[in-house]
Amino acid sequence: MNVKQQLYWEDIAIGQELPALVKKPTTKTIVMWAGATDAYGEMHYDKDIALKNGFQGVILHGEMLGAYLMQLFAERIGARGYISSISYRHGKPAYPNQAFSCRAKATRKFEKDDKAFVVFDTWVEDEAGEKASAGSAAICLPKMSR
Amino acid sequence: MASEQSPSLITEQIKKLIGAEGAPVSVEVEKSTIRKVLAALQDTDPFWQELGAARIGTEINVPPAYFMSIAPKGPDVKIEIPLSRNVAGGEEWQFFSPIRLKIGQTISAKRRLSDIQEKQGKSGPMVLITFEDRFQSESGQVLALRRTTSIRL
Repeated sequence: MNVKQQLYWEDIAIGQELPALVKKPTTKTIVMWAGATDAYGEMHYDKDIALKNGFQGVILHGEMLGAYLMQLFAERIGARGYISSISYRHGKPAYPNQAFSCRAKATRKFEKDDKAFVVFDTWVEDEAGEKASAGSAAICLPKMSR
Repeated sequence: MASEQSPSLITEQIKKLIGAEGAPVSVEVEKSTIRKVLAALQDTDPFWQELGAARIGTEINVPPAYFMSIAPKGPDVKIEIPLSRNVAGGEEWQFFSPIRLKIGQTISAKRRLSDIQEKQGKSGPMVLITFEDRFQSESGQVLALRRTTSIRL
């Protein structure tokens, strides 16, 4: 999708899903994210420690899943839209070397202080169809009439 | 929250730590950092391509995930809890406009310990520790707010 195409508040209907964003992080991705964000928790790179802590292997940074959700919106809302708020909880460990589907579904629309918002349920789904992270986002979008 | 059998893991001494703040940190917005975040996310959106030609002082669109590269300093306190496993619980972010920053501008970040709560999980007690981070420009404009919760199990 051409990101410079602007999404307007009127374009979104309640119940509508944005096109999903598919990500396929690997262990190399973990290293890159750790380096970019200075996040060197051992469970992200030391398999023995990850196993000792009850995980099946090294795990993805939860924050990176949140970044995927931010990317999902940033790619689709155009230059004049922005994420006003986004929150997510990590429900289960996310392991690398699988495809994650990042999704968003509109649940509410409102206007406040001369701005227009669409609220989405948003989540990151692993290959088993389970939610690794889930939450909501309020996206500020321009109105066509303004 | 104490169970019938054992006292709360959150002692009065721990409760007193709520509100403690870390020393502020300042970073300069650098192209290399933005590039690293985009590369880690495999984000090749042409919307960020203006980064390539940007020079010091150029204002550009910046992905909101850029703020994850700024590590505020936690307060210099020890939260003594006999739970050794630490996992990320979740985050809440607030932004106030499309994010446009100048290469070379300074962003300051400050962290505050805002809450400590005990809950009962499926396999026993857990403690949720929440920090609030504030990212602002040199002029004091708030650029982003984050609440981040880690869980000790």
